[in-house]
Amino acid sequence: MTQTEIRATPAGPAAFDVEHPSPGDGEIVVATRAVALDASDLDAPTDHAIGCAFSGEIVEVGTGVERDLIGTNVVALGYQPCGTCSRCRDRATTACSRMELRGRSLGGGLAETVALDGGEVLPIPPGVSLEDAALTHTLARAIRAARRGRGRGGDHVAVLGTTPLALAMATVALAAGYGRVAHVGGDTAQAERGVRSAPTPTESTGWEELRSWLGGYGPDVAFECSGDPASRLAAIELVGPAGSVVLATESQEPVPMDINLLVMGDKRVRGARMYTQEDAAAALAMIEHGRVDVSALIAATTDVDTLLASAQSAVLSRSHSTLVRWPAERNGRA
Amino acid sequence: MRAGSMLAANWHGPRDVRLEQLAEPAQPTGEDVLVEVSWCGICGTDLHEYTAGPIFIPQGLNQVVLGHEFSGRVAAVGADVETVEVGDRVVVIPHRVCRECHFCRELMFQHCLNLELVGLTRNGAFARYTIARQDQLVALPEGIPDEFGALVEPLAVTLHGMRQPGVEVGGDIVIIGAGPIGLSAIATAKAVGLAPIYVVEMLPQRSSIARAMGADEVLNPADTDALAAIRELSGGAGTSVAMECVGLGQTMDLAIQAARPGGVALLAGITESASDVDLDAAVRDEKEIRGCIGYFDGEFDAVIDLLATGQLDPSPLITHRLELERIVDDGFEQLIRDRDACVKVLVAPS
Repeated sequence: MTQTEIRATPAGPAAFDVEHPSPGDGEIVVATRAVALDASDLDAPTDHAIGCAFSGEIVEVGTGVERDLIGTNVVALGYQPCGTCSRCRDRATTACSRMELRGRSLGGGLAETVALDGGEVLPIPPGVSLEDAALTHTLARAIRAARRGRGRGGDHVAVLGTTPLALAMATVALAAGYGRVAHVGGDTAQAERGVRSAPTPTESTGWEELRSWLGGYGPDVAFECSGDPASRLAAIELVGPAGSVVLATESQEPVPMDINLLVMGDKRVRGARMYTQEDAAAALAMIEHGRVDVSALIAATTDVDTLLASAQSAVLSRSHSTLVRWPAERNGRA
Repeated sequence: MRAGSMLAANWHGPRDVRLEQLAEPAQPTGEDVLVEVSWCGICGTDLHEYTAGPIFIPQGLNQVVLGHEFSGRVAAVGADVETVEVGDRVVVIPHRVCRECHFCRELMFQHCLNLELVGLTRNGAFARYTIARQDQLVALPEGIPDEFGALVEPLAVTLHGMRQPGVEVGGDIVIIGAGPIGLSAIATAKAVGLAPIYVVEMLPQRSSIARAMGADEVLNPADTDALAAIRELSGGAGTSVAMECVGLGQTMDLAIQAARPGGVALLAGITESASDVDLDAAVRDEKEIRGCIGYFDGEFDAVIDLLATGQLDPSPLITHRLELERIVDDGFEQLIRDRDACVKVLVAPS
């Protein structure tokens, strides 16, 4: 029995017929309902389904999994720690040295169904739609970064980057009770929600105006959400004395910098990589209780057939998520 | 009325510290206190200013009396001074702060937006007398020698590092570089219960002092792959804390790599050039990379408490004692000529 999955190809998203997955021991099969995608999902061709942020309904369970779970709406965690390396044994699964990402090295959510480990999903609370729940992955990453930033209510923060994660970060920062929230590279629509959108400064304008708005000495915490070396350096320059920079995106590119910026500023840099189950549960709770405005993260909502019919550049944004619905009637197993 | 003159080590530029007769400070007014200096240590910052300044010294300041690690006695007080009396033994916090800005309100005085530094932005303690405000003074209890009082400042710098989140009792640490700050870090790490303490140092006498200060293992990077050795000693993953006390890009990277996943790399060395730093280690392994400079409110008192109880013994740090007249040739130049044997030079201006 075959099913459809959508892969990244040099020509854009394309449908492939593949074998329907069967659940192994401890596994479940989830019928996809909604996937949050952005242009980075298509950056490299894949040999399996794309999409790390998705939700759906359990339609099949393997041995060792309660059959009562069939019919449960769940959200996928988006990555799989190996469970055996020293970091996983220390319960530091977010630092797993052999982490695999859904939609990259593992099959992602843009498929009729996906086989997942039973521990790889969280139930969606009643009152949270499957579409909104698909944003859990991005929000959980932002919550993880916020927790790593160790900011306090009332602190001023800056978010750097033009990515869905940066948008989620600004949204979470507002919900976390931070004082002033500036988004360097953000859009002006965020102003309605209390986020100041700040242009990337030029050599002539510098950071002074933004620093002044953020209390005169720069933000207490800066969240860098693009991985771009210049943006990382800018975050370190911008943050105030004794402030924290959270690097929320991996990047292999070195950052040439005067290390005295850190030393003499008594500044700290912390990494945030993925998120824990607790972070994901917090994201769902924030959606459930209306603490975050999920609509702010979404550029467009479409369905899988429209996605396939469109040129990729016209569909997916680099700054926002696009919500792709996989209708139940298009799913042979649902 | 005061009208005498005094010998002072007056910075005029790189490699230009002059022993000059300057007027003694005037009778203090307001909250100011005249301190007669007992001992003043030559700090790495002084040496940076001597070789390559101005760094902390403001551009455009043509001269300043150096010296900010010191102890002394109160010689005279202004009319509004309430906390000390003439004759009191004191240690002086170099920060002269505005007490009004955001960082002062947060008690993070080293980041005061209007910060003045004794011995860098205003005249310091390589002279018989200097001026400080009463809130800069911390009483030096009986039983703590004046010499140790002059070491409170560098010990407070490293205690500030040991008080950071993620630095926890019973955790292991590697300290990279056994200069004055590295050796102070060994002493404070031991005092706050970090164990074991590994040190990376290639100079033999400094290595010996490191052992005397409490290092459990000293690794010579000229003989061994320091990173591999640290990982092996710490069970494979690296240490909970890695503290860089050299100020070179490669030792900064070593500290970042030596900290275990989830660990803390403290960067305390001041560099003189830009370099590439593997910041992605912070993301990949969720490490924390922290600059570490100065001290917060209360950290001088904490060092003095640890000295008073004997938990801190900085005596192996002191390698040279000089009269002020010898500060250039036997102080600054000797520190450059003989980095191994010359660690902490204390100068007696009075």
